[in-house]
Amino acid sequence: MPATATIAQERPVRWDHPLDPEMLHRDITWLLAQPPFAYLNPDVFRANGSLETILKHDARLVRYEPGDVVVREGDYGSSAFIVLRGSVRAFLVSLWEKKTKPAASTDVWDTIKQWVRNTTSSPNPSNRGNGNRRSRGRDAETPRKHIPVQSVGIEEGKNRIFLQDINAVLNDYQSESLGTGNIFGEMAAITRTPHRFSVIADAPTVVLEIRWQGLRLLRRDTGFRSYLDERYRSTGLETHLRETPLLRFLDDETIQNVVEVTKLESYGEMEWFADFKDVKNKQVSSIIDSEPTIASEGTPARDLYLIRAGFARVSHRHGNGHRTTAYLGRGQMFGLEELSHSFFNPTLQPLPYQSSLRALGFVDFLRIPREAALSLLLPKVRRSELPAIFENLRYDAGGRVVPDTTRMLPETDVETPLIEFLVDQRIINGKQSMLIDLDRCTGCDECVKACASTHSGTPRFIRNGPQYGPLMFAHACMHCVDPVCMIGCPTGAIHRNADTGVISINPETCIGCKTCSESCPYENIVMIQVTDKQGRAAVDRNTNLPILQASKCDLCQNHSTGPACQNACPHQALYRVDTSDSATLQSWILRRTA
Amino acid sequence: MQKSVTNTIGRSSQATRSESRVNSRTVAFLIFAIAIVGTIAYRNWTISHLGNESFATGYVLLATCVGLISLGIRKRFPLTSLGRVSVWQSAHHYLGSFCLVAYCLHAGVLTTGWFESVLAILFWTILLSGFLSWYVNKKSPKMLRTAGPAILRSDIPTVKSRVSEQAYQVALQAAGSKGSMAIAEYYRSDLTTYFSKPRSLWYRLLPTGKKKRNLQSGLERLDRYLDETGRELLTRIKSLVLEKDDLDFQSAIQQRVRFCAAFHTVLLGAFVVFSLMHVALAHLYSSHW
Repeated sequence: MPATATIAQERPVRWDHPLDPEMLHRDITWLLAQPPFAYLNPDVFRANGSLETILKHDARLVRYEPGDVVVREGDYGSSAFIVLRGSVRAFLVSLWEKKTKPAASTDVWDTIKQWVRNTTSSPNPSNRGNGNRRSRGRDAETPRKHIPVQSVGIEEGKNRIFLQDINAVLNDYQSESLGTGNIFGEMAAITRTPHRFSVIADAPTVVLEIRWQGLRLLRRDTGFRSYLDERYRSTGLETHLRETPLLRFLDDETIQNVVEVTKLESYGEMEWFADFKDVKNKQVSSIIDSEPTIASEGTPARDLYLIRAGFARVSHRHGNGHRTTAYLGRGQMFGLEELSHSFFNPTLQPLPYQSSLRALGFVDFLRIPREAALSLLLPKVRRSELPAIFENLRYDAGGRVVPDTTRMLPETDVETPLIEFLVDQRIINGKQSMLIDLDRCTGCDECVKACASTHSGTPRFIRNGPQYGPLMFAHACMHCVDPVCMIGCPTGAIHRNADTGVISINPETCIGCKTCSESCPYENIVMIQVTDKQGRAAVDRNTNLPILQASKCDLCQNHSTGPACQNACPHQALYRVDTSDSATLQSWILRRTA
Repeated sequence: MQKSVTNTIGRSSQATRSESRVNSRTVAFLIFAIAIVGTIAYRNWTISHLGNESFATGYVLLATCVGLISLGIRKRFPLTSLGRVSVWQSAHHYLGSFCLVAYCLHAGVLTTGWFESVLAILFWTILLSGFLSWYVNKKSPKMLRTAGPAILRSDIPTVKSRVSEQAYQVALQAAGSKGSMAIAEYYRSDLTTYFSKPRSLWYRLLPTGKKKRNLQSGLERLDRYLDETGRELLTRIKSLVLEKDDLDFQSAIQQRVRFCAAFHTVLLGAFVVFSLMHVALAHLYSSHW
């Protein structure tokens, strides 16, 4: 077969694969008469067909029985849900213990030990959440809440997850009832983050699931958008405060008091990648100047900032520019050092912010006023967990620069130039960044060969990319905290695996529109020509133009062995590192130097 | 707070990691030593029981060779859950070293007979190429890092032709003015070949910066014949010479890594085939088995 042979095909289009092919016309007619769809202005959807088309392709009706899990905490959200009939319970506290990730093993004995463990232990999915034998022993001594047991069943030909003991769970855990007309899950879908709570049906319920591609179109209606935005700002606060480790000793009353005075604010654009591509090659100082300033150094520390989503840069003036000392992600705080200083020294004049906080792309945060932080939060935090008192100030109580400072807080132990590199290149967005140690890499391309042989001969990454000293961040999908590539996908072909967080592309529904490839700020998604099993390139039957498909690293998620590239490296030069967390990165760097 | 947590994480993992590595190496050396002592003991036991020591050590050697080629097989199956290739590579290094001991016990340092001599030559060549390959793999990354940012081997020809084209344009520009004519002449006499032809085989085996230094000093000597514009062109062509040398260097190092690996693998395959023939012949003409 000659390499240039082609085969004519119909070009895949946006509406080829509806979310539910069995959605009936009468269901859609009924839906259109129900709120909120009855109140939407149909004219705003003309560009995308009609409201009916959107519901037909991007929504589905799902029936749940009591105990069925609608949304599971920790899973990545890609849909919003509207209760049409019946009711569900949203659990405000965690139902299951956090999943722990086994440490990656890299040397001979770790691998042998892991292999022995794998072969001698028989994993039993029904034991999920019960812990190991030792922890079960401890559980027996200490009375604990009933741990919900999840089961998987089949109903109407579809898998469903349900709790066997819904009544016991409802008794033991605090929950909120959501009845007809209530919407949930939209925050996770819009911000591309995991669900903060679980939702369980407590009666026979009908729910409309709208995938986020449809939700995005529905947001074109001004009224609907305002409604979602208002909900987004009002309901996320309490949940976020409750899950902040530092505030774990806060009682319900204090949390309510804090919620009343806390503001939820956003800086930057959700579609930040477009601007980033423009400014990427500009001078660093001008990039920093263009970032929205949330808090300025030297100004009075009036608020405590708690990052909810996105990233922020912590920097201070240095010479003619700015020195980046840290980056903050979800759950991290800014201003805590300054407020702690006032808390420990109530008689001294309050300190101004010692650094500036700037939004990197889009950042969503809680702003807790100083008075509330000092009177409600800090007294409930363990003293040992609060930052130490400043030894060397950059700005004094009057906001004046203190000369000859030698050491400043807050700073991470990762060297400043590396922090600046990671922030400037936005590599801080990566949960699984491919890091190549150039002190070990010989360029043998075993990783590329392994990737190609795993993915039908086409490697899913380029063994090249931005370099910082001996570290190269290769052009491989980083499975970002904020996967902006997912924003424009019209069919939902690029999606995040709810369990693993891996971003992958469904070749069945990818229409080759290049939106994800152009959105990825790191150039980690490439368009490849579709071929059939005989290797013939597919071309459009009408235009004779090649039919393309997006291709990117899928972390070999369908294979139990993990990423083939990492396994294949004979020199232990290739790693996957969570660069969104500076502590993990620092730990990796120390291991490397050791 | 953040700082103290980070410190704790970093230090504890550093300590654990170093400890783990020390333990791994110690255990590996112990196994290596036990294997050697065990093989010698097995050989002596065979002799004391009037067995054929050559067969005893020969089969140990053959098993070791099979173990050595298993690395290549493992590489061809990237998705098998048999541990990382780096682990197999470490095991390959230990087995290779053990193979030397097993071979000396089996055949001694010197051999007689043409077939055995071919086997012996193959063995020593493989052993040397293995050590060379190990050395090259150890040194290459650091050498590559001295030659500018990493470039994919497949991209090097494209970048080289861009650099050559830029150098040609500089030479053309220099030829148009009296104050920079010397650069054009130097380009014609010394740099045309440098930019257009591939480097020598000797350079590819042992890349050095000698040529680059010679050309740089030649270019520096032109300074007295140049005006201001000429000096600017000189700076540009000097940087292009350096860039081309970096590309040649990266290409040579990467080729050398591949060549060593391929040479070692092919010879190992040949050795195993010859060894099997040797086993067959040994059985055919032996009265013991």
